[in-house]
Amino acid sequence: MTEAVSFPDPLREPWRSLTRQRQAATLGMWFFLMSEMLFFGALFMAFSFSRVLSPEAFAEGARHTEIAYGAANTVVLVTSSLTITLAVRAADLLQRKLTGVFLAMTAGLGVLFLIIKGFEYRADLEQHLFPGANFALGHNAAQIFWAFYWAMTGIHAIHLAIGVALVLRLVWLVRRNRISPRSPQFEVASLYWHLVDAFWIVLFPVLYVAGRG
Amino acid sequence: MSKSSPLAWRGPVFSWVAILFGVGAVTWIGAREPGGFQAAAAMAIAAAMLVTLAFGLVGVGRNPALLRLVAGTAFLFLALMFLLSFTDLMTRLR
Amino acid sequence: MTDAAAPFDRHSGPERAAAGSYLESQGGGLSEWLLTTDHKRIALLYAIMITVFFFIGGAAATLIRLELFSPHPHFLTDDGYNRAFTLHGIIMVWFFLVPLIPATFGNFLLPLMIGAPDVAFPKLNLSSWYLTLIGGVLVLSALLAGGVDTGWTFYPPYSTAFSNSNVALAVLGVIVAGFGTIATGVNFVATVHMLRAPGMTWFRMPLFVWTIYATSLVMILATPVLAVTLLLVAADRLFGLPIFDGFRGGDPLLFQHLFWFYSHPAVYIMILPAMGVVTEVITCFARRRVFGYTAMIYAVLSIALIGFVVWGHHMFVSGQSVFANLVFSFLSFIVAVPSAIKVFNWTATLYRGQITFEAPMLYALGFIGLFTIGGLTGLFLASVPIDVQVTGTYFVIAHFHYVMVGGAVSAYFAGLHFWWPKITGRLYSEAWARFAAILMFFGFNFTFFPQFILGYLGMPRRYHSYPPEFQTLNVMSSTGAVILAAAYLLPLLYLGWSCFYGREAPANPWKAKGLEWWTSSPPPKRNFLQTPVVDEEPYDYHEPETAPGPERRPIDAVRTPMRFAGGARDD
Repeated sequence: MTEAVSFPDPLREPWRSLTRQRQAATLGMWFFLMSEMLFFGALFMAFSFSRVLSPEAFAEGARHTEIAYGAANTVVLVTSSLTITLAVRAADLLQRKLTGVFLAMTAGLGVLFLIIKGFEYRADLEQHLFPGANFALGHNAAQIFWAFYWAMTGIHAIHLAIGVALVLRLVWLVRRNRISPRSPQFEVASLYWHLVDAFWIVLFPVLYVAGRG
Repeated sequence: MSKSSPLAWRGPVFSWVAILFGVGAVTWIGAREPGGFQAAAAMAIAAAMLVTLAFGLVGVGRNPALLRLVAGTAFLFLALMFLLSFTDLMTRLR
Repeated sequence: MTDAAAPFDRHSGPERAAAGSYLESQGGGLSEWLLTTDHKRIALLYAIMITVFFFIGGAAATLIRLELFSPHPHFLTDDGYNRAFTLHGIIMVWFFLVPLIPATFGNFLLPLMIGAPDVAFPKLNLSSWYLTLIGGVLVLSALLAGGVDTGWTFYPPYSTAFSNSNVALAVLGVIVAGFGTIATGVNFVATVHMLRAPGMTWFRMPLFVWTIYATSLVMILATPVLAVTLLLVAADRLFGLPIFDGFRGGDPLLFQHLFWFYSHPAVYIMILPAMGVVTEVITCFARRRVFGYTAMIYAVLSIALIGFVVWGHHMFVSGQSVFANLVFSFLSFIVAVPSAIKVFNWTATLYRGQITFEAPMLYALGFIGLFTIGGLTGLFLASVPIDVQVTGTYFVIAHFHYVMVGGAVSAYFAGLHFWWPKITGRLYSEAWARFAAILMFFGFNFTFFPQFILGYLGMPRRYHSYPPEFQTLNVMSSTGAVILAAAYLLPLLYLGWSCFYGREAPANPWKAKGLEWWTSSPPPKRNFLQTPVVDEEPYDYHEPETAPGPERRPIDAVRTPMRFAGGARDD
């Protein structure tokens, strides 16, 4: 049962119908996702290109990634995709509290990912796996593998942090009754979140598994 | 969408479980001795996880054709990027 | 009924901004403009920004052409010259040409042309402007901190490992501006899909809308690749991440593949909207339906698509494989075909038209000639044996200035004059405008045609000293640049004058077709007082299967066409 609260009208200029506005927001977000796919896809292309150039050095570099961290993070992020899906469904059913709970879980899992990543980065740095003069594996293309590791996981982490901020904002708005459950923002945020998860689902095997052999 | 219908959680949860199995499989492959088919198997499982995410959690299947076209377009252009760049790489004289 | 003999109206002024129009002050002062979500005001914000950037990039060009008056360097050091042409390229490509038509006319006209009250995401639209502005400020900071010397193409390993200039700051500026571009692309695509007025089907849309749509798709697909590539360059500069470092097994060609994957489609971002403007102008001033409307649409979409697979023609001498050279050369020949179809169709549109030569038409006709020359020389460059000789020379520079300046900038001026009455509610001086158009055409050719010859004779680009036998052509080019600069300044003067003293424009001074002309000049805040319902085919200037009769020419309504208070009239 929902409380009888009045929400701000989610209808924005220039829209005359909320249905059209929601469709447009979803469409717009999908086109943005298209650009993000090219963004990350270009990184994957660059990685593959470099791997073909130096297969042995890449394999050597890849052997030093710690799959336990990667696997744990993947579980965390996939679970967060589940929670945000449930949040959107709860919003569709006008269930304010449940929406807030699932969104908060999503943000929490996102933060957990970043914390685990932080520990992993610290371990990597302790092993001198950062390209440069002190690199542990020599002056060769293993540095380029690790350059991709830092660049791709770093860019992914920035995207995730932005996602966490977006979701936290929604949590706050929901708690304060300052957003209508019919607002397109839930669907839009969840699409972005799923995309960040999708990148990781590809990144995990590419960096932690496929490179080793 | 009505206030009285319950939250449809089964589909997303099943998809989640399926993806977790995929994560486990990829981790298991990575923990074994490196071998030639490791990379291919890991990427195939990753593709399956992506499809499950897309259809089970994102709900691409119930979206209009336009949205699938958008996703497909991105893959098309990435394919062109890969194809032509690798055409250069693979045909260079060593 | 207006009096043909009356001089300019001394009582005009800003306070006469038409009541109820989008220009009318709501009492909010500057913040009313800096926080606006009205696409028309955002278009003007962009127009002011790109004009400022044009002058900065133009200042860099002035330094270059001054330096090239004599064969030996005389006031710039080698390093200083490198920084000058780099600044010229960065500013002109990303802060002038890419937003030139889409961000100004695209923003202003897209909703009007489809009968919408605004774009799909008005607040995002304002964010796009701010992102472009912040990017520009970052690049200008790099300039003030001493500049960048890598060329606008930022090739590693020089940009990553050896340059002692502000590379990271400059690339970050370009990346931020790129996000603004992507946001604009998303906005426009969603607008076209979701906000068309009743009756405005896809195949009734003006071709300008189709070109904006195609351009927006290119923006969405190509710009992210630039962003991530430059991000890797910045990561190398700031964190030492050596992805393109040959000494450690990296490949500088990887950068070039990624960079040109964006930068070639980028030139189609610049030219497609220009082609859209030209179609709007030519149909109006020839009083003709466009020849081959559907073919024009497929040509635009083909250019957008094929433009993504030709990037290797920038890399013919880079060390790319011979086979890849063949593939890219072949595809580059193919991409010329839809452009040529468009040129044929414009020509066929003119045939049996009732042509008049107002300023917009002069610019549009100039576009056809200059774009054709630029396009044909592009074909020379697509041919590997020729390219091997002229790449890295002034031939290439002349080629791209013909298409980008002779093409896109001419089209911008065509559109500026065509839509000036709509945007400002004022008529400009037709006599001055025609003079400026002709001066620009001559100045442009004086500047850039000699460069084809210089390149063919072997003068390299990005050098400020050259063999003395090239001096005559260089002096010709630099002199032409002075004429061109004057031709660019003139519109500022007479258009600016018209804002204060120009005669008020009627809703449709050119008797043009298109929804934007159904509403007042300038339009009201919400564009249309009532949502239009469309039941007309586009460019309905005459019955199909016929040619327009002479009685439909707007010039016939103008009794004294060359009077100072000119512009076509609504009797």
